[in-house]
Amino acid sequence: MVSRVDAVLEINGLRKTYRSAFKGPHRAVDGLDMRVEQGQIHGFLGPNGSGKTTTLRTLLGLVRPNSGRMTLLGREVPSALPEVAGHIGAIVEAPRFFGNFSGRRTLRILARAGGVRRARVEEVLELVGLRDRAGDRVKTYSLGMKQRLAVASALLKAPRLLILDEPANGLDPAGIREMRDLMRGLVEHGTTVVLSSHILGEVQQICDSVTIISRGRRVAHGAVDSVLRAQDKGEFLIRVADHERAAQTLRHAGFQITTERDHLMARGVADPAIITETLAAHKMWISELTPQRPDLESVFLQLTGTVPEPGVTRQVGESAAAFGHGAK
Amino acid sequence: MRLFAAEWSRLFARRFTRMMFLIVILLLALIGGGIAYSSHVPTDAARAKAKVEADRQRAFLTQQRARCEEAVRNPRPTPSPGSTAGTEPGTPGTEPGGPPGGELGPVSTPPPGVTCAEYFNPAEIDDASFLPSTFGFAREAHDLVLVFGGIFAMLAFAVGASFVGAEWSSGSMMNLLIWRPRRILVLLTKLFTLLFGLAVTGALLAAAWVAAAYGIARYRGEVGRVTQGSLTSLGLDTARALGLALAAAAIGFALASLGRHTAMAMGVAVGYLLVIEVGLNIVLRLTEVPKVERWFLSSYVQAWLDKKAQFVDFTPCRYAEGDCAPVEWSISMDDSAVILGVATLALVAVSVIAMRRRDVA
Ligand SMILES: Nc1ncnc2c1ncn2[C@@H]1O[C@H](COP(=O)(O)OP(=O)(O)O)[C@@H](O)[C@H]1O
Ligand SMILES: [Mg+2]
Repeated sequence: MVSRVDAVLEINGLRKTYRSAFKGPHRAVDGLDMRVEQGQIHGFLGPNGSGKTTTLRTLLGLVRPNSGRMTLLGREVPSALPEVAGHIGAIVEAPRFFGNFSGRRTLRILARAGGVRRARVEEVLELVGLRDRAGDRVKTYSLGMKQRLAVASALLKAPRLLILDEPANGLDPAGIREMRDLMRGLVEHGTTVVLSSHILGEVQQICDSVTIISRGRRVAHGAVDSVLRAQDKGEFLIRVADHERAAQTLRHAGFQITTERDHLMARGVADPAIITETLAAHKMWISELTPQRPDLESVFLQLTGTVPEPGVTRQVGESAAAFGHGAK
Repeated sequence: MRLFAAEWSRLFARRFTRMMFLIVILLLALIGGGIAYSSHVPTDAARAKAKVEADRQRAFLTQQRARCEEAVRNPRPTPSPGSTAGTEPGTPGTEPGGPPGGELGPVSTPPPGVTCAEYFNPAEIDDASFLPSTFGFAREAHDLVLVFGGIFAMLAFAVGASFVGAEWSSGSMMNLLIWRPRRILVLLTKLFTLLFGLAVTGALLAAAWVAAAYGIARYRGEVGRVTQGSLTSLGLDTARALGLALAAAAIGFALASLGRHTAMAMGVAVGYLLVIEVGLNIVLRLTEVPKVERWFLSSYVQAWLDKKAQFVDFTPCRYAEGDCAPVEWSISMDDSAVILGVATLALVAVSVIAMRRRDVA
């Protein structure tokens, strides 16, 4: 799927192996590909330990990759990082600030180091809703407030690309909604947002496109709908008066049926009309027949639950085959 | 420049920096207060009393000298055969400057090569020795600068270590590197800011300290002879003390940056003191290694502050029978400058190289 829109973030074949004296080498990112287009909110999804933070750190020059090519805003990084850094706002992992400074002072020092005018500090404090607590020491902030402060710091430069690692962590539902609105607002002004998460509920609602990774490799990517469609297994929920008989009848007719407490689930259904027809032929009348569109959450669980097992040979060109890997 | 401005405000906004300065200022105030409290301007009565006391002492010495010369001219036979004329120095006898009056015991004679006039010299008696203690600026300012240097060097080490160590361990170093992805520039700006800040505050503190010493001398002691030369020398002492503090700051900074934690630098410092300055010291002394002091940084610090450190090496006397000459040796200020400078630069270089390549994760 080649797009005419420019990629603001592109990763090809990124590998990173952490070498630790005590634990031995650990492959955190294993040939990752990723592409984020301008003006999108892109979800970077994967379970804990799948390499999201490592990838983002590598992009930002904090970690040296073993191999791979990366570009940000069309420039090769990390070599061109000093030039593009002015247009990138980022928070990586848990927001960690110096606890004894107030939120405002923290931002002012950063603003000064980055040559950002002082008034901008008040603007971003307002934007993330920290205005009233800006004078308090960061130590006294809740996790959610620290998260907001982190986002504020990332927004200081009015970035073209905003990279947020697990920004929803520690936010209450209202905070998550505010954050979502904030991001929508940013995107309307032309900012591209990349946000990583291992919690998918929010991401599904806010993202235009996603990259799903597992064990350091991409297992799915693209627009949210297309990822979902690719994972559609033709599941239908069926309610009838007599479950047992209906299940037997349908199994007899070759359907894959599981019985739940008050309904049946049919899998691999190409045309639901056949279900209606089969049951009607046996004088059973369907009270409900609902297609089960996969939500991102279940897709995510499936995709990341089908990772190659350790010991199984890792395949070359993994990303190309990613969708194929989805079904069990 | 922007980075420098940011680091500058961070340095002095930090509670640790402020606390350390507060502690140092309190400590110096305490020392100054103690000196002021124990120092007294000599009153006329006290001077007169001291003069009487000193005169008695001088008279006694004059008398002893006469007896000594007499004894040298006419050596009395001594009870123990084989021993030469007079008592060995160190045997019980009247020490020079001993309490006057009472029984005049047998006079002691000087060791060979020293005349009676040198041994009992009334001119050595100074009225001042019989006065209550008086703080003298000209006499003691040098020592006070050394005290300041030692205290400020410890502050500098701790502030240097925490300035970068807390940044690493709190994660704000990572934030800063995301913000300004030029690692070496970020680290060196931080170091430069630290050193510059400490040089400025150190110079101010030292000036205040010397001024306080002068004030104490002026109102509760004696200033003494202050010349252009002695002031210059005092200025150089102060400069060397500040230089030492900056080296300590750089070392603390480098260690904490390498270990990414303030505690790392503190641990290395304590470890060094225990393992090297104490442990190795004991081992080397037990095994009679010649010139042990040369293996310890503390000797170089001492030499640096004092311009020269004198040591006596007794190891040649270990198996010597009879006479042996202990070796006197010294460490010069220049030796110290080289050793301390190279150690500091090497540590800073290692921390910069590590900064270049490491993963900030
Ligand atoms: N500094 C590090 N040293 C060694 N291993 C690390 C380091 N950071 C992360 N890892 C390992 O790399 C893997 C990926 O971690 P991470 O990128 O943090 O995943 P995520 O952000 O998706 O949770 C994990 O197995 C983690 O234990
Ligand atoms: Mg993470």
